[in-house]
Amino acid sequence: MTVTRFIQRLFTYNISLFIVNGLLWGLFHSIPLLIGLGMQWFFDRATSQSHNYLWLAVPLIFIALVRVSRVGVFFWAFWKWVTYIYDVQAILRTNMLKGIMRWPGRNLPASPGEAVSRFREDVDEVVEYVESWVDFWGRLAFAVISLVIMARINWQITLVALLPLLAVTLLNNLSGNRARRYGQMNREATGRITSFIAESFGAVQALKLGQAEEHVHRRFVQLNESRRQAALKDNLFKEWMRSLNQHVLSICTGIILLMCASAMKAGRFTVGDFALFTSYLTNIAFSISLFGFMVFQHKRLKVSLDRMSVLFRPGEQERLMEFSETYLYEEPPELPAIRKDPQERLQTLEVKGLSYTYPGSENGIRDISFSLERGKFVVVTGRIGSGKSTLVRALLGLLPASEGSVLWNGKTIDPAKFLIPPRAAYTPQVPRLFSDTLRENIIQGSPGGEDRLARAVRLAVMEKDIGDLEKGLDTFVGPRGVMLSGGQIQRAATARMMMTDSDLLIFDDLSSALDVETEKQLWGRLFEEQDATCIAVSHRKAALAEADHIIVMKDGRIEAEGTLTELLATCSEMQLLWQGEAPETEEADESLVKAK
Amino acid sequence: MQPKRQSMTWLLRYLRPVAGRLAILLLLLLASTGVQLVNPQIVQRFIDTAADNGIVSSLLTLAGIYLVLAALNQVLTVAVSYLGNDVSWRSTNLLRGDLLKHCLRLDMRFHNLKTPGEMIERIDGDVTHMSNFFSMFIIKVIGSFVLLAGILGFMFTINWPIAAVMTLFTLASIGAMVFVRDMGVKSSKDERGASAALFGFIEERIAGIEDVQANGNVPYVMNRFYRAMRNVFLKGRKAWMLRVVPWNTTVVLFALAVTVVLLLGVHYYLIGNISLGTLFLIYQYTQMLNDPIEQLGDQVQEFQKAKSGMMRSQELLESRSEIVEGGKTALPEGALGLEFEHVHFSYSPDKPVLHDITFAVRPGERLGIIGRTGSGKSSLSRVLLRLYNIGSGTIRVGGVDIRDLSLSALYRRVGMVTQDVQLFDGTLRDNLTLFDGSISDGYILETTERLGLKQWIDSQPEGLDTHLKAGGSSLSAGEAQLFALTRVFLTQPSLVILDEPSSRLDAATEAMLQTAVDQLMKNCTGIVIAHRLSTLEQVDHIMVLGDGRILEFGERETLAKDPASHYAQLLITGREEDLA
Repeated sequence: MTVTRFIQRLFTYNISLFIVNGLLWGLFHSIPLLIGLGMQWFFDRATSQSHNYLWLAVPLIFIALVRVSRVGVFFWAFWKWVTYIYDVQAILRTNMLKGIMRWPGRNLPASPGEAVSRFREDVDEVVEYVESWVDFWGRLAFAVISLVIMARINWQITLVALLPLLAVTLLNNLSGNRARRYGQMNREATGRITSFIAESFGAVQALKLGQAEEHVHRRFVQLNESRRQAALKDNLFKEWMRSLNQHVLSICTGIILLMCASAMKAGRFTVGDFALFTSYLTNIAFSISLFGFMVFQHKRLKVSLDRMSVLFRPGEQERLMEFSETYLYEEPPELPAIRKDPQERLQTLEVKGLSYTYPGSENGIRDISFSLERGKFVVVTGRIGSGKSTLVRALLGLLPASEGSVLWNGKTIDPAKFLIPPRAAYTPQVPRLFSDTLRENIIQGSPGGEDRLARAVRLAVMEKDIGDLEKGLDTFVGPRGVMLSGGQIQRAATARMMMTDSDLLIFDDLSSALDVETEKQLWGRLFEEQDATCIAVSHRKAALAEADHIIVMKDGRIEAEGTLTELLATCSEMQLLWQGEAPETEEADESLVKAK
Repeated sequence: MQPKRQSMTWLLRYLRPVAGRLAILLLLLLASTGVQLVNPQIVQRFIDTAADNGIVSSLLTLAGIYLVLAALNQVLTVAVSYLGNDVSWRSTNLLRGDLLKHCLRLDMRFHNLKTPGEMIERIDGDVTHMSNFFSMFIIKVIGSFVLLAGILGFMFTINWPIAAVMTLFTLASIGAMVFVRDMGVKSSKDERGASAALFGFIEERIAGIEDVQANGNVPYVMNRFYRAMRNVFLKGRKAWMLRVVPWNTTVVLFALAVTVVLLLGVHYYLIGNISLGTLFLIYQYTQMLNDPIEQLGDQVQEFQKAKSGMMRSQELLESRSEIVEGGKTALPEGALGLEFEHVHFSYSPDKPVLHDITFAVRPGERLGIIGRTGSGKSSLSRVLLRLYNIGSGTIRVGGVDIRDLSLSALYRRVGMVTQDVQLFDGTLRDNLTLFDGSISDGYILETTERLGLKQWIDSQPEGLDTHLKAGGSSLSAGEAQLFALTRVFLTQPSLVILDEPSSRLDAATEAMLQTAVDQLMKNCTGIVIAHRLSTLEQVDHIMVLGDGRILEFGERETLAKDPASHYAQLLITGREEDLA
């Protein structure tokens, strides 16, 4: 999206508010015209020979009234402007978050903390840009009208006042690239800071235990120092451009004085005219520096626009400025209940030739095919780095598969859009909870009611833990769920998944945080209550023994598949995974296998 | 909350290192003020000369002087702005650094309540809002007062009744500002709070995006986002409106003052006391009064914005960790012993987590702890590392009460591998050494080789310099756990706690790893919070925990032989690995 197209859409997004702001600020900025005229009026009367006190006082009282009414206009205009600021922020932030959420998986080019700086600084940059445009109309009106008034007094001076405007515009055009570069450098330095803070506090326990406070602090000081340098360069350049505008104008004012000299002596230029000129020129100086600054800002906007666009999936960047409801003026509507379409009830799921390679490496999965039917329990197993989690995430569309397809009841689907509740739900290997109450984390706004919640908690075998927690379900779990133990987090995430009442449940190594009893209870409750269809990543015997079908992964490919008995008989990798576990309990294992 | 006076002085500390620059800044500002004061006088002479039909050459000279001074003023303006910015960045960076360090040192109870996004707002956002205070506030306030004094001083030499009125107006304006200045502080603080919450929300949801997406929670997240944004809107609009009140008060007062002064001026002009040029000078000086007063008003507004940030930062800096460090740093050489004596601990008063825990581990021994989820295993390691304070009892490491030890002495010798591995956006080296530059690459590679991570590192495009993206999302949980083990063993601990270190490893990898861990643990005491019985084959003692109490403690072999023991029961009935 080009900058021009972006701002077009920005202005048309809430056109009425833009126009209202333009009009009100136009009024606010044009009022000084009256003050200038009033001063001219006053000094002309003062230099004339009549010396009636009241006659001289009238222009002064007129000016006072104008000034006071300008304050009234200011409050009105400011109210509208503040409203507009938040409207612009809201639409950009809403679309950015939507864009991020639409793009399956973790694709951001930056850490979450850095991404937040795009929600903050870059959006503010746009607001500043809009501010200039809102001021523009009034400033323009003032400049044009005052130039006309001044030209009627003395057209040569008007010409001199116009020249710096052209010079400044030209100068700004020439320096655009540098403006952009400095702006970008400053932004990047800020991004590194926010990212560093977020990452440090995300890993605070590790840093504390590692006694890394000093090291972290030292690194932070370095980052701060490089930001200081980047910001100073950026600001100096900005300030230099801005003051250069005024600089040119001051010279211009001096020249006007020079030109006045003879005219005044000849009586063609009164003190009143001079008062009007000085009053208008200050304001024109502001206008001209605003116009010059806007050219500069326009160039800089590209930096922010690019930084915000990167958050969108390639091809979707246009949607940064699409119309969205932002709910600033009303409460957002309640979430609609999710309805299950009986047509879509899971019968079979097929995976054909699924491949994915991590960018910049050779790791990944290649040519994975398998299928499962309703009510089956499939376990994916393998060593560390064999591609188990990658397989599950590619299946869910959280990683973009380079090849292959996923079929639901025989129909090809887009997993990222289709494999979500009420059809499929997922618990990641390291689930994330959010800083909220436990209840909120489990129900995630779904209107299921207490019965469904109780069922989800029971299926996740979490009722005892909840009873033990001081505030039960209303316990605040802290950022990323830190107030809970690892096992509790994993079961809370399981409950969250159960709450969705989905057909297909996908567990990425859920059992690693559960004890035998709990895990048995979990599988038991799950299979007796509903004809659950599950895909579970696990290397645990408990899960392997329950499985209808096992897929053994090695180096990103399916090494072997089948039932546990078959695999133990034929597959050496499976034997290794099974044996390595607990050699001394072989007999027990035998009995387990037989029981199946 | 401290009184206001106090809240200013603690900030001065950050200005001390930049005092020299501040002084230069002040000089430049005074020079620029002087130029501003002279300018109207030139215009006055210009008008009077023109009105008296003076010669054109002297008019041209006056115009020329005006030009030179105007140019000089521009140069001064840029210099002031540059230096001001520099001062501001230097001092706020000091504050940012202090805040970061302070917050990192706060205890886990603090961190458990804060999201990383919120920390961004508090360490960077709030401070950025104060940055103006650090540079321009003092400078501009002083500069404004000097300019005001200059104008009024000149006026007294010209006409004292007018000067008196101007002084009165100036005092009234300043008085009004002092009176209304606190108006926006509370609402500004609310606004900052709301915006911190919004950004915290965004950061957390982006960090946990897969959980959100794959569970179909996007609409819910958006709904919450709308609410947070609406809250920022309502709070922010109020704060903005209140913040502009002081400035507008001065505008109204100014309109009154200009009128009164000029009406007086007209009076003296009519009776022939002052010339037309002087009347114009009075007009210009009255106009000029507006600038410093408006400047002061702006600064008050900026100060309000900054003040909410200051209050929040001060709160942060004043929050003390409840973990009070001891002063001792000396611990015996070699492996460290460990003793717990009647230790009680709870996260909240009425829910005891550990109850009367007493045991001892001799240097070099290994203890295995087993117990179901919630039995207090992890809490035991947390109190040992002083992430939380115990309620009562004593914990001794190497014979020294941990409360008497400095935290750095404790952590230098005691390492822990946790269930949840915290990785961050940074290079592999930074993630392994936690930014400690003194650990050599050779040593890192040697340790990673032993733990079986080297192969993986070698496969990365830039080896140790490879950037670990987005909190290590490209790493499997198993690999992450190898990371955590490496991290701890790089510091060569004398007592190491492994909190379910193998929970996410597959059996084949774990078997390989076990040998390495055994070797690394040769020179230290080990506490292994176990997940599988197989992990405990090498330990000397076993402790079984249940509901925060020790159910059993003894030598592993003795317990294994005693069929009545919990451990033996587990060996028989548990059969399996997952009993933890």
